[in-house]
Order: sequence, then C-alpha cells, then structure tokens
Amino acid sequence: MFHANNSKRLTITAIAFVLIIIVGLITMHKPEHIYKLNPADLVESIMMKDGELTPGKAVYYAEESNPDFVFIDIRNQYEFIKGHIPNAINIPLTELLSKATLKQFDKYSEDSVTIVIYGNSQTDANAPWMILKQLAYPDVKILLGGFDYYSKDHAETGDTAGMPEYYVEIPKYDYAAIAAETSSGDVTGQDVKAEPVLPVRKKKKTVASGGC
Amino acid sequence: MNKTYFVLIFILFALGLGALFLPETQHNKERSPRELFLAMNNPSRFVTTDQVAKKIIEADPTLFLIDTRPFDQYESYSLPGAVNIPLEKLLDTNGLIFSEWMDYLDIEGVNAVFFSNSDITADQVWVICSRQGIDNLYVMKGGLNYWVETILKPEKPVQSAPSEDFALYDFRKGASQFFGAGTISIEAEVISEPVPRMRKKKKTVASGGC
Amino acid sequence: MGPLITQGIINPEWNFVIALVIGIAFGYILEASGFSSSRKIAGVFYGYDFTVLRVFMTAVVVAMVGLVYFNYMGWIDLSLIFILPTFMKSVIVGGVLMGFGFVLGGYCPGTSFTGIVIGKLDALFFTGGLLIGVFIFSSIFPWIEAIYYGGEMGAVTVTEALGISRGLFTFLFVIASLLAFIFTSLIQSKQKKTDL
Repeated sequence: MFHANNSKRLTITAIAFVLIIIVGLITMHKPEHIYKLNPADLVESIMMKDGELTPGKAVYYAEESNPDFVFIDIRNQYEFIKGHIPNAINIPLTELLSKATLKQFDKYSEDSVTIVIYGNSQTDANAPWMILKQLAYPDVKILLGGFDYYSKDHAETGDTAGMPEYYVEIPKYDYAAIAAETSSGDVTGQDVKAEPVLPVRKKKKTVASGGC
Repeated sequence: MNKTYFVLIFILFALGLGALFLPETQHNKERSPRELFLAMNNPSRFVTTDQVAKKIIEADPTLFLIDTRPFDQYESYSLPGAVNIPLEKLLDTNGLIFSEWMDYLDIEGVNAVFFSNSDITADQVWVICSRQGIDNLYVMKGGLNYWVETILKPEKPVQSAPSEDFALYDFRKGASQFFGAGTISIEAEVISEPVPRMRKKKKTVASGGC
Repeated sequence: MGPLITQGIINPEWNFVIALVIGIAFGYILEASGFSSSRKIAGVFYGYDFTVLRVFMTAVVVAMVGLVYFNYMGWIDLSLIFILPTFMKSVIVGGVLMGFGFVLGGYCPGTSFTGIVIGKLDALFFTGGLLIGVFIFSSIFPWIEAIYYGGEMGAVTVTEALGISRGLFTFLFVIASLLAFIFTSLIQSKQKKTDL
C-alpha cells in the first residue's frame, strides 16, 4: 500500500521539479546588450585620449563632408533643428540604445566609418560616448567642447592654439592661490591641504582590519 | 522494480548530464548596459557646486567627496575632506575597482560626490563605478573650475537680477569666506570639521561589514 | 536573486520563522519516510533495508541538481551561500563516533525526535543518552579542543578541493547515486525473497 502511494507521489514531485527547471530555463533573462570592452581597457583608452576629436578637425571633416566620419547629435530634435554640425544625424539620447540605432551603428563600423558623438557640451556626450565605447564600438569619438564650442568659435577654431578652451579638464585657475587670496594668510592654504589626508589614511586601516 | 523508477532514473540522469554542460555563470553586481544607460540619463546624478558647498559647511556626514584628479593636483589643492581616487588608479589588474576604494564608495547612506577640474574625468569615474553596480554616486557639475567661479570668486549679479540671485550671491559670498577662511575663527572650524565627519562614517562601515 | 537573506530580500529577523517552517517540513518528511523506526534506520547497516541511503541520496542529488540549475538561471548565487568550515580531524573522529552511535542506537539526533513524537520508547532513551553525551562533551571540551579544531581547511567545497567543475562533480555524483539506488534495490529484492 505504502509503496504504490509512494511512487505516485514521487512521480508528481519529479514532474514538478523538472517543470520548475524547464520554466526557469525558458524564462531565463537574456542580456539585451553585452559589454565588449572591460573597464580596464576603457580606462586605458581614456588615458590614451584616442577617442577625442578636436573641434578644429571636426570643422574640417564636417565642411568637406568626409565620408569616413559621421556626426551623431544626441540632443533633442528641437535643439537639432535650431542648429547642428553639417551632415550630422540626430539621434536623441533616449534612442541611443534602441535596436534601430545600434543597427545603424553596426553598419557604420562595418563600413569603417568613424562615429563622432556630440551634445551641447562634452559633459552631455561623455556618458553616452562611454557606453557606446563599452558596447561594440570601441572607435567611437567624442567632440571636445561639444556643440556650444563648435558653434561659438566656428571661425577661429584651430588646433594650433596653446591651451584651447575645450580641454576643460585643465585647471583654469591656481586653486590654492585663490583659496589663499580670499583668506587672510597663507597658513590656511596649507591647513586645507594637509587636513583631509590624515583621517583618510587612518580610516583605510580600520576598514581593512574590520572586514569579515 | 517499478516502471516509474526507470523514468525517474532517466530524468535524474538527463538532469545530471545537463548539469555537465552548464556554463559557469558570473554573478556580480555589474549593471547591464540598459540599466547603466537609465542611471546615466537621470539628471539627478549631477549636483551643483552650491549644494556641495552647503553640505561641506553643514558638515553633512552623508557627503563624501572624491577627487578624481592625479595625485599631484590633489596635493596642491582639494576640497576639504576629499579623498583622492585618480581615474588611472581606479582599477586593479583584474579590471575591478580596488577593494580599498570600494570601502569608500560602497557605503550605505553615504553619497559619494566625484569631482575633477571640470566634470569629464569625474563623470568617467562615475560611469565605471556605476557599471560595477555602486549606488549613491554623484558628479559635481562644472568641477573645480566652476567651483572657483561660483564659490570662491562669486560674481555679483546685475542690479536688475531677481532677488533669488542676490540670495544665492550672499550664500556664495559667505561660502567663499568659509573656504578661503577670511577670519581665524572660521578657519578653526575648517580644521576640526573633517575629523568628526570621518568618525561617523567609520561606524557605518563597521556595521555594514558583517 | 538568492540567497534571500544575504541579498537583503528577506530581513534577517525572519531567520527563526523560516527555520521553524523548514524544521517542521523536515520532521514531517523524516517521519513520512519511516525514519521514526530504529529498525528501518539500522537496516542499512545490516543490509535488509536501504531506505535511509535512498532518501538521503535522493535529497542530496535533487538539491544538488536544483542548485546547479538555479545558479545557472540566476535564481541563486552559489558563491554567496554559507559553507561550514571543514575541520578534517574532528570530522573523521566525529564521523566514526556518530556511525557507532547510529548502529547501536538505531537513530540519529533528528530521527530520534521524530521517534519521540510518535511515542517510541527507544527514541526517548536515545534522546536521554544524547543529552548526557552533550553534557559530557561540553565538560571535557577543554581537553579535546585540539582535536575539535584540528585540520582546519576553511570553508572549502569538494569541487574546490578537487579542482573540478561543479557540473562535472554533479554529474559524477548523480551517476554514483543512481548506481547506488540500483545496486541496493537488487540486494533488497534478494533479501526479501529469503526473509519472507
């Protein structure tokens, strides 16, 4: 009696078990996009600065409508209509990862056309540029200075200038001097400098020893 | 032997055989490109210099400043209480964020704010850290250049400007004095200020550890 | 997704509630498998009843296959689950002792409680002995501490120690347990003929 009952129960549990696994396998999450570039390579590429396009070159490529370069405008369509780089293609930021866009990008990279992406400022285009770089397009370039700089200094942009304004990461001011200037004396500057370092070092040690 | 047992044996064998061919899955907190994209499109990831200045003056323990510039620049000047995590030293040889940085970045209830001379490097660090699944990361819009323009050397609004602009100017003027430390009494506050803030954070780390 | 508590999906406060529910289920399954009878349990040592082996092997194999698949499907992260640290010396000594107790008493700690629940006197005696054993163990613990913590290997799994993949080990274990099932059922069918 027990035996027959048992085998029936067994069958039911076995079927349930197999069903759970089958359902799990079917509904398994498939990634929509896959990173091709690991973070280390990304940092290396950023440090090499090979993904940057200066406005001077951009003007040159855009005006002679160089077929090896395509400009992608990630601003919204109203801003695009108000003004854009000649022959640029408008792909609003929200559409950046859509299937159609990526298909278009795939075609560009097949034809070895360099994609140059720009927004109003370099900051606006920076994260989209990095995301495209990490997907399948390691050669995507970013327009330094963005459209603001491009439209403003269209006439006199040249790569010859010593420290052009579009290299925004270069310190514009001598911070320490300014901090000292607004204060009464130079003692303060040193204090501000030295102070943050000390508690940090201490904290580092505590964390390491406190770990599990 | 019962017939059903043969079926059961077969099922188990098939599942075992399947397990043999299952690839190893990587479980990490890494955000998918879509999630990263959504996070990056959220404008609230940028904070203004005024917000940062206000929090520093208030000695807000939830604020944690991270200087992403190279060490020599950090050494010559940085915001009070900031820690230096340069972009080029962010990752270890495995392409992961150094675990000691993670102790700063991945703290619950603490908002890490990246800054650099502008906001490009800070934003790049943000993207890399955000891809690794860390929450509560922010970028200071405009960076230190804008910090100088707005906080250290605020520009007086024109006479016809709305009253809010004057209120903002007054705040910035005060902040400028605070950071430049015009008088010795305020300066003393600047020195003592980072220390208690760090201690509070230390506690958070310890309790979050285990 | 899982492990649920480690990943913060369930609060750690629920630990005891979950433990209670799982404990009740475990006790029920033990009783339903006939483990409240010391004869059935000791049978595996004398070779007339292999229910113990089959039940435990089935549980292990099902859990193993399930976890491997769930890990693949992303439902559980096997790198986050708690693994008891291995102390090689105490495992060997304790295993031998436990084996003797198992054969002599006909119960293991868990099954002795299911035996008490359905009113078995021998289970009651066994549990009394168990408590005395616990008392003796804690009294002499300072002397046997070296053995207790001997041969520490850390939280190591079989696959890590052998350096083989999880899938391969699962497959080998499934084969081994299937062979064990078939082999024991052959022995048992012969036994029954002579017994009955």
